[in-house]
Amino acid sequence: MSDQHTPITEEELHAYVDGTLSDERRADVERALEQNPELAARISDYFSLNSLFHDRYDRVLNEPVPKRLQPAAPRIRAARASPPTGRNSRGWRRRW
Amino acid sequence: MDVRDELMEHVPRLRRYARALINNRDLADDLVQDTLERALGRTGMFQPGTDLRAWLFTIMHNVFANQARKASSRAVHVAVDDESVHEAEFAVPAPQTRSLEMRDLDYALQRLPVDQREVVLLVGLEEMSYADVALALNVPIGTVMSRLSRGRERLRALMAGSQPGAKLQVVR
Repeated sequence: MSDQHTPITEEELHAYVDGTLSDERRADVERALEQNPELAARISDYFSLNSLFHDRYDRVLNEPVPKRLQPAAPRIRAARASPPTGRNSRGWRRRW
Repeated sequence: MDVRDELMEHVPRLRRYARALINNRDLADDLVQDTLERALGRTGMFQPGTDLRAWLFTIMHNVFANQARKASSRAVHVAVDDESVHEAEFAVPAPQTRSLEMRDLDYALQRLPVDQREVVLLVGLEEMSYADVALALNVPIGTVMSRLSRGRERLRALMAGSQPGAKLQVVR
């Protein structure tokens, strides 16, 4: 049972944004946001930041992984392929 | 599946995080490569059953911290500390386009102190729990919370400063 007058901490505000706050405290935060437009604007911006990160960087997940980060398993024996340019020349593949 | 195969499953996410952290494709991939290299050299230290992802992010953090130290001693990378950034610097007049907004995000992130940038991204992009972030960065959870709090607030100010009068795009 939480006292609804328990002040909302900074930590709880972030937990609210990140979806880890308990349902009970969630309701308390939502009440506080309704009563405080300035706080509501701040929290809305925090949500937006998380969304912007995904909008901006999730595309990397779909990029083909460059060869130098995609070493062949030893059984495949791809190590003889001519070394691509750049840092591969320092022998990264030998470790695989 | 051996650890090596498991490692490879994490590469796309390591790349995503590194890209956001460094905002330079080649340097970000260098960081991933160094991280994998170090992880492979230490697979013996990894305890099966524990969180491989947290371990990889720990290694990446350590590699990145070392690089940042070396880079700053060469003055290639300018370390930005809390007090040195003036929001007015970013008040660039520009058309309100989506791609600009995205570039602003890159730019604003690069102006965040590294400690805050890591936490804001591990939480907001990688969706790691605060406890896992504390583990990965080897700092107390209270430190994670204060970096998160300061980082988000600073990022918000930086983004607002780059688009005078504009709110952040609200998606939810």
